[in-house]
Amino acid sequence: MMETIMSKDGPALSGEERTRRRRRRQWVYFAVAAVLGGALGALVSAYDSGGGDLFLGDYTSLRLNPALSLVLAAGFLLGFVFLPLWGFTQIDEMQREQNMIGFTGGCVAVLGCFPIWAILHAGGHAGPPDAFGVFAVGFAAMAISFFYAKFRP
Amino acid sequence: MKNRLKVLRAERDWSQAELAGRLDVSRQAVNAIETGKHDPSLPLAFRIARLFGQRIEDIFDDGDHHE
Repeated sequence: MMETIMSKDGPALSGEERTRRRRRRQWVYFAVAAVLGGALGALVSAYDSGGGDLFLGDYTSLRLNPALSLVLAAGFLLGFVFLPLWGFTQIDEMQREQNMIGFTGGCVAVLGCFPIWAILHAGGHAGPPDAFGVFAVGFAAMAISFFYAKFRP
Repeated sequence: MKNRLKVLRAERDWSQAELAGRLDVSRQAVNAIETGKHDPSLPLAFRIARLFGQRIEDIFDDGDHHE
């Protein structure tokens, strides 16, 4: 027997159907993220006239057409901000908790990374803080935190 | 938090996936609740209680029995 929940927005869906639809939307999310990421990376690589590389740390050498840079910035805004936020609405509460732990780990890492790095630099233990380095540390911390939340015993 | 979800599910001969569908959560969420790795939110606890026709405190046990 299927449990049916009434909705004021239209025909009620069974729990199984809602789960199937959410799973389909999750795959759409992964596909859009992959295509968007690939397209942005390819465009940056194809139109960079300065010989830099956004994801290998040499971003200061990147040179892009001003109009194209605005379009790409909008694409990164979509990919790194709006898409993840929409993704939060497509997952259940346990997955949301795991993602929040991941995002918290990334956020804490970014907040702590710059001052720690700057102090280490002042003492001669490291080079000067680098924007891409802070991003990379934050991203790695986010991934580690997420996988810890997902696979903790 | 201890709970009787696995027992209640077994009594109805439901798989974790079937229960997940009825609760509109992932199968992983059902598994995590059954094994005590995830404490459900209050709205989900109410959905579980309504689905099995029981009170929340008859399904979940926080170990605090003071009245």
